[in-house]
Amino acid sequence: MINLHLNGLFRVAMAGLLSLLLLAGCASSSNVGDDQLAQSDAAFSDVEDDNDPIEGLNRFTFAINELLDTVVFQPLAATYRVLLPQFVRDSIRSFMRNLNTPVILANDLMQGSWDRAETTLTRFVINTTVGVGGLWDPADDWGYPYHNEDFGQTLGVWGVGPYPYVVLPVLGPSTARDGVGIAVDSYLDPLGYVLDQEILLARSFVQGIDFRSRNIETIDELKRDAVDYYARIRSVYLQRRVDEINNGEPDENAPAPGLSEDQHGDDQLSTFE
Amino acid sequence: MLAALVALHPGQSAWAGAEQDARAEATNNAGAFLQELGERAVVDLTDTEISEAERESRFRALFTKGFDTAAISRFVLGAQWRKATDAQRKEFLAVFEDAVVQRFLPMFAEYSGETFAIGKERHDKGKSDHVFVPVMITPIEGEPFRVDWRLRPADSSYKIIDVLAEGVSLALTLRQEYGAFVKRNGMDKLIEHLRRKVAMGAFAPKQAQ
Repeated sequence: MINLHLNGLFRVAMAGLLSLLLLAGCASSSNVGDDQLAQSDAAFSDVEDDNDPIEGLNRFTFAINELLDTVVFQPLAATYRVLLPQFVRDSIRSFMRNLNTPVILANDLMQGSWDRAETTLTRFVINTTVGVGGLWDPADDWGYPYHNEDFGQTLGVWGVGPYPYVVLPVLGPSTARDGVGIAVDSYLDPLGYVLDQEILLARSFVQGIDFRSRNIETIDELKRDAVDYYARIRSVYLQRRVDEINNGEPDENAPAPGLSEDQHGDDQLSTFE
Repeated sequence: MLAALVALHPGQSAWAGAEQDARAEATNNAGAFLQELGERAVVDLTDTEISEAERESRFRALFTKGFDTAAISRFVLGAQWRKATDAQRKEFLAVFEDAVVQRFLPMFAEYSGETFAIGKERHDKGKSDHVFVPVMITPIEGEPFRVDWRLRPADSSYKIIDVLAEGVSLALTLRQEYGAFVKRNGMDKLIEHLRRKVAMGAFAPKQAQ
């Protein structure tokens, strides 16, 4: 997700609003204490209770984001991809990822993932030196793959559930928890205190365009055959977050075909197979 | 994300572990099933001598054999499935299969050498008899991505019951998406909407349009 650097007052206001939503979400859920169940229940809730209490507002924001994407971001991303060769774009991404090290490291530590913290630090050292200021990523070839961490994931690991679902302007799908995470991460980032506001914005913007350029076909596919694109994105986003929080470990509580009581009864279909 | 299904090609497989000892063979039955299904798919479907109609019917046969379409549909439609009539269920299964055919069949015409590595399969802890088979797919261009296949034992073999790309379950995504639609519009409208999309070619991969 984009690590957006917001100026002081706006930051505080947004964090405050999202915290309120977060508390509201916590108060109405009965599962906040149990890490994985909290994640699963919210992310995989049934359609009768889809954890989207502000769906009307979300759909509206979503529509605006879509318009912005079609008119501004997608064309920019496509141009970016055409103008810059792959290795240049890869260098840009490596450079940005390297700059994000402090935030990733801090979140690794806060989650108690010592091994991952070590990988993050090792990556930083290797890529900054051998990788010339982070422009290349030799660390990946040497067995230290990149991983992303943010405060939203940290909150998730600490047991905070992903309700309610919130579509943020420009930034896209998120949750109250992840939105607070974005704000906290911007405080955690040392570069936020060193660089000018314009440079920070430019950096976020480039990260966003680079990300968009790597996902043009994927997003097109998601859009094309969707019956309800908004609901699809909501589902995909929430599942991805669970996956990120679990660092790729499968979620044993996830609902799936063939599990619950109403799933048995193949005889129901044998009449017309 | 859905390019996963096409990437099962015989010559490209590599076991995640270096050695293949007896223990690995015994516990990798689900993985073996998946590999065999993939090999059969490639042999049957990339044959240049057959007609398009024949290719499509072979695809449909493999699909119904390899996937537990009934269980998937039950899950995707949830409560609506229980309330639906036999006719509606049949219609949904039909249009769902049409969508899958439209989506995946063209890909067999242009398999482009993705490599895939079948990992060690894993049994669902306690809750069911399901098995997960992780597969790592490396496309020609772009990042490798993780696809997990959820299988359940059926008639001394297996059936695929879900596909997860980087943690996103196809069945669950469709359930939440179609569920939102059905909640507002009802099942018949969903079937009609899907039919229209199939007729428009909305499911076909971009290069085929």
